[in-house]
Amino acid sequence: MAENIIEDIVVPRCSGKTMKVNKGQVFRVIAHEGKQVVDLTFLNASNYKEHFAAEHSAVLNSMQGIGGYYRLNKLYSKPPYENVMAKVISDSVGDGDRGGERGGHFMMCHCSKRLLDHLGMPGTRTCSDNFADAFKEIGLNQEDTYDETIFNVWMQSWIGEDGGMCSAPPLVEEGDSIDFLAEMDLIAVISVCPDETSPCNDFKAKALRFQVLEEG
Amino acid sequence: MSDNLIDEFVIPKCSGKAFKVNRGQRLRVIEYEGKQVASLMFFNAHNYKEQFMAEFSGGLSYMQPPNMGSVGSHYRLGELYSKVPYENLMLRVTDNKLGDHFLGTHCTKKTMEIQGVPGHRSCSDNFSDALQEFGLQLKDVYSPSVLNAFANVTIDQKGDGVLHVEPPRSEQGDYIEFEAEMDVLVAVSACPDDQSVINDHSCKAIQIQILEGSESAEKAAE
Repeated sequence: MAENIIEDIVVPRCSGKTMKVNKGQVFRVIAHEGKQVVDLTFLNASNYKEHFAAEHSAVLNSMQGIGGYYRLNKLYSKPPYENVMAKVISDSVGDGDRGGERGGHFMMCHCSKRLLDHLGMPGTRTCSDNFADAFKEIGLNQEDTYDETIFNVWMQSWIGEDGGMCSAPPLVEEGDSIDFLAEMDLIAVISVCPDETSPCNDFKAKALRFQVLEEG
Repeated sequence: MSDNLIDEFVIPKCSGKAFKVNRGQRLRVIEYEGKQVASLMFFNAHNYKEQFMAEFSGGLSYMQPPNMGSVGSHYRLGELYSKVPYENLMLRVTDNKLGDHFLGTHCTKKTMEIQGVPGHRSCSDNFSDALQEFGLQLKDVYSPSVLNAFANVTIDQKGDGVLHVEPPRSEQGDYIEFEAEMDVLVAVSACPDDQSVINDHSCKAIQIQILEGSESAEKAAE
């Protein structure tokens, strides 16, 4: 099927960005340089209070047998809205066979100032900084937004038996992609994770490529 | 002395209630009858935009000195933090003998639809009712992720990461106790889900106690 590419950008390593994705359009994330996580959230373009709820979506997908904390099919917004905001229609890592033990993504938290304080690295750039920059593009302050529990694309983390967060290097390779079909007009909010202290980005932060396209 | 009771009440089954707990005071959420989940939200009492973040707090509890997991974890929360950009310590867990809780979403209109009971009362309704008194609506709450006290729920370590829900192990009198590190507004939902095993298929009441704080907290507050 022919693809009409409307926007095609590379977001530099360790930075944040927003992109507009209209209903019916596809938002594609491409692993531009290999093993790199992107933290994503989505806002309803006409009501910023309606935002994606990753942890809620994990449970709703789990209850329907279509996903969970490590792979998602339907992305729901927070209560009281609970609308399907987008659907994952292609996921080369989550749907493929990479020899991994789990879905390949993580519907949970990102790195923050406090976390890096706890880890003894105060002042290190985090996804919180990226999100703050991204939200500024659409006139929002972090006090008025929610980005703590998000779609960590290609983050191979899980909750271990002791309740600790475990991480392994991502299964993603250069050229892999994941496609989200927008079910409403959306603002995609992007953090290209700046972490270089853990296996999350295989110890090196990299750039990522994003496309908005129409099929037809 | 350390157990001085300030207030005590029972939240009837399938209902919600919001109330304030001051810095240094202790909050006990108690199984009034047993095997009943109490879903808990927390707000800074002076800035309702500063809200407790459940999963985030599990991660922040786990990842800190002296050893990973020494303060707490996703399955045994030690410290409760507020959302970015605040990231303040809101409360600490001071007594949690049973240990069971789930840091994750509460039941909603959609979870009831998926369970085949559209229109069934959910924690969303309980929270809406409880927060109304303080001028808050569900759309002002950033995340549906809460501290589901006594929930016996785990996340699969492999595959898609599905949820495993078991009946609660809690019995009458079991409790989880917190000490407030700031003045907080607490919203409690006595979870109205009688459809799943989460409350052992029957909804029950939850007891609340607010107590004077420990000496160490009084010192820290000076």
